[in-house]
Amino acid sequence: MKRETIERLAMDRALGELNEDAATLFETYLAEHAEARQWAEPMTQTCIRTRQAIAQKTQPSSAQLAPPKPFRVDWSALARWAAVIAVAAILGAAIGRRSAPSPTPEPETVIVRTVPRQAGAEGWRRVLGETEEGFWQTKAVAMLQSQPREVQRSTESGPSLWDRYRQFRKERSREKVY
Amino acid sequence: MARTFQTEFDQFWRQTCGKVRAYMFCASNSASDADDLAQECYLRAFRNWDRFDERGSRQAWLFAIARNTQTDWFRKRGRDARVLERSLVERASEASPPELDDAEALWRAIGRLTAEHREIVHLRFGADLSYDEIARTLNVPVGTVRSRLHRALKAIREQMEEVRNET
Repeated sequence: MKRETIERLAMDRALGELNEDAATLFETYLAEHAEARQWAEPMTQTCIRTRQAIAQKTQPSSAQLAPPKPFRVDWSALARWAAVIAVAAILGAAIGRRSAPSPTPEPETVIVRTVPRQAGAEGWRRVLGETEEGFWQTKAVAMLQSQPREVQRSTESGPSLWDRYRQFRKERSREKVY
Repeated sequence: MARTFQTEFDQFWRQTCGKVRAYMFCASNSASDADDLAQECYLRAFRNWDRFDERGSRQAWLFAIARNTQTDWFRKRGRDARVLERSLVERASEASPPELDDAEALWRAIGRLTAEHREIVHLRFGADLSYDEIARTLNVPVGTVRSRLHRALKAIREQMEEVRNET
């Protein structure tokens, strides 16, 4: 056989394109003809190495390809999500109802009665007794201490720090006056 | 009906995606480009699924689409067949570094082949198509496929011998 024929047959055999009978015949021929073997070998090697080189380049990347998942509606997953959302909504509503302020807040009036000190009368008498208006002053202070005061506590907004300071100053000045 | 088609296409995709991507990679030498090309190819196949003649090979039909996809894609990117060929030759002709391994040298040798020979090598070794499938894809006789492949492999061998002699 000619060199080209040998090479082509070698190529066909390396690529698996020869049927079994033809491959056996070709093997027998090569075994008997050393020169034909020398021609066939380089072609076989070229086929093998070309396949390896291309596989080395392309296979790692193509192996990364994952088959696409066809879009399907997963009803069980949807039901699970719906249940989670419903539970979250119920919990949220319950927590919100507990933490919300009462719908109609009414200002409550608290009567604060200043209890005179145990030794109030005597104490005052001791302090103010030496002054000219000792009796009247003592009586006025005692009346002031026992007088009930009304403090309006509003839920809307409490007195500011400035208001409380002014009230404190007013009381102090009143005490000084008496 | 739609479900059957979906399953059929999915199965076909699983069978051929590796081959198509390898074929695209051989042509573009880029993983991302190969992915784009393969995706475009399957999109076209999906759209034209009903236009396939059942007497032929579905795989050969797909690779005919793949070829057209390659051509259109490179043209769209301003790289027509000639430019692509030139770039491949230039890339292949770059001075080979001494540590270049055998596989890389062979890859470059493939890049130096003519477009006709390179394509047949890509279809045979990249896409792993049989002679018959290549013949159907390229619409040429099987004998032509054999002779082209033989010449291509011979050219690769000669170039590899040159490289070996240079080093």
